Amino acid sequence: MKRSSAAYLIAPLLLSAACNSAGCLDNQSAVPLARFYSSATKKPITLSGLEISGVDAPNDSVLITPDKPVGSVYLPMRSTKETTAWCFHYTQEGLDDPSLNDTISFRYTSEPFFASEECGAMYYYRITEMENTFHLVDSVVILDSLITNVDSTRIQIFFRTTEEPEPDPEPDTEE
Amino acid sequence: MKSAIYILLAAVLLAGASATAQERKRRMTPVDNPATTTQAVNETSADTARINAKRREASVSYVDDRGKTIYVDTVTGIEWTDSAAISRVPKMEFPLFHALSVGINLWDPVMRAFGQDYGLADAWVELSLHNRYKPIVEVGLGSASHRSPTGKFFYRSPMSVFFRIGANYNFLFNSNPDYQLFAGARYGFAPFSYSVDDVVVDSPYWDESVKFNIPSQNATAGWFELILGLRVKLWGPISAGWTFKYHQILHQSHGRYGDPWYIPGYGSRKGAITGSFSIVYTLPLSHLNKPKAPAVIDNKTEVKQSGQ
Repeated sequence: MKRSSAAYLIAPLLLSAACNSAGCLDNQSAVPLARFYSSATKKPITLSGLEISGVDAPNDSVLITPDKPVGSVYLPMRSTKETTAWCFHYTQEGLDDPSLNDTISFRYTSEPFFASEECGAMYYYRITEMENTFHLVDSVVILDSLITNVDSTRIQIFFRTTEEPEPDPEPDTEE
Repeated sequence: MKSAIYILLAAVLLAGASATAQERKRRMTPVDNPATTTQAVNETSADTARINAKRREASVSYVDDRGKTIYVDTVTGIEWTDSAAISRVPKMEFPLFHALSVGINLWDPVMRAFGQDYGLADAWVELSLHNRYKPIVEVGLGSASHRSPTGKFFYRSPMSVFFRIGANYNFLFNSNPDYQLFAGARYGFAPFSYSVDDVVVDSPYWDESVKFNIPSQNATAGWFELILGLRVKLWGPISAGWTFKYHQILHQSHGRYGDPWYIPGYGSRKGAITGSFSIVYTLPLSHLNKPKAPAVIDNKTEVKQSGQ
């Protein structure tokens, strides 16, 4: 075979290899994203002085430390259990008391799922029950009970917040 | 007296009619002499189409980059174009049943040698009509055994069959069939099964790791392909063909535990562009066609006929 013919044979292979795409555009595991809201304004908020840890987590490890304000958090489910519970501890002045901690627990079923070659295989979770305390948490809304690897908000947590009074309207001076 | 006149008139009419019939009969009688045998040649000697047809016989031709047929006189080397044929629809130079080609696609075996872990091989049969329209049927086998780069799962798809049906259009249909540039379309279909084993799910926060298998699932998928390719004769009836394909899934069944990563005949889901490389054996089918009527009057034949 001539050299030019060999080049014709190899060129399409190289071009084809160059046209492949890679990369997982979603998460590589099914983790619900919880976003924080104000119960007063129903708008997203960020909280400072909030520490989140899993109930029965190994070595009492902390998921979110209170040193940075947070507006959302991924709450990974336990794939070996049917329930996962999270403890919310507040370190702000006047709230730094374990008796004011809030707990949110989820009961769920899990099912294996192959998402894609890039994102891999994982468990999808279906939340069947949810319980929470009401110290600073006002309510918890589950937007979609099926937890997949799609990167979108599945849980809304509404915190009791004081709404700052609106300033009084300035008196009309043009009289 | 009157009756005698009528009889005479009738006799005259009958005689006239028979004379006319005899004259006609004489004109219809073929006369075989040198004048009549060359009559057709003389009558068509100024016919441009016939002159060009004879000139084409003594020329070779090629199609230039504008699609115009250029003739080259084999004696003088002069290039010329058939002005009478320029505005006409191109005539089919090749017969209806031109050839039957059988090809083996070596793309997947070659790619497997380069490390690809899916695909097997396929073969196809193509019927060439006028060297222009080429309906094609393809049948192949595909399988996959793919371990993810992270080692977190092992994708398996046992060997299963797939089909493609479609057609090619050869742009060089009036040129030498040893060289073909074609575009085509295909519809592909595959029934298959797949499973994902040795799945490892880690949860660093909970310090947990589980391992499980996703059960085998059955699926079907259909897709279309748009093709651009070329084929070049290597030697004798053997030629080589290259194609670039753009493919897209048209329909597929969605499994409970996730969609397949590999579809036999389609390939993996990553990338819409792929290709093929085939070795082709071509069998001529000219004997299936009716013999072509002579297009021009040959002077040599005329002379032979007149000498008999």
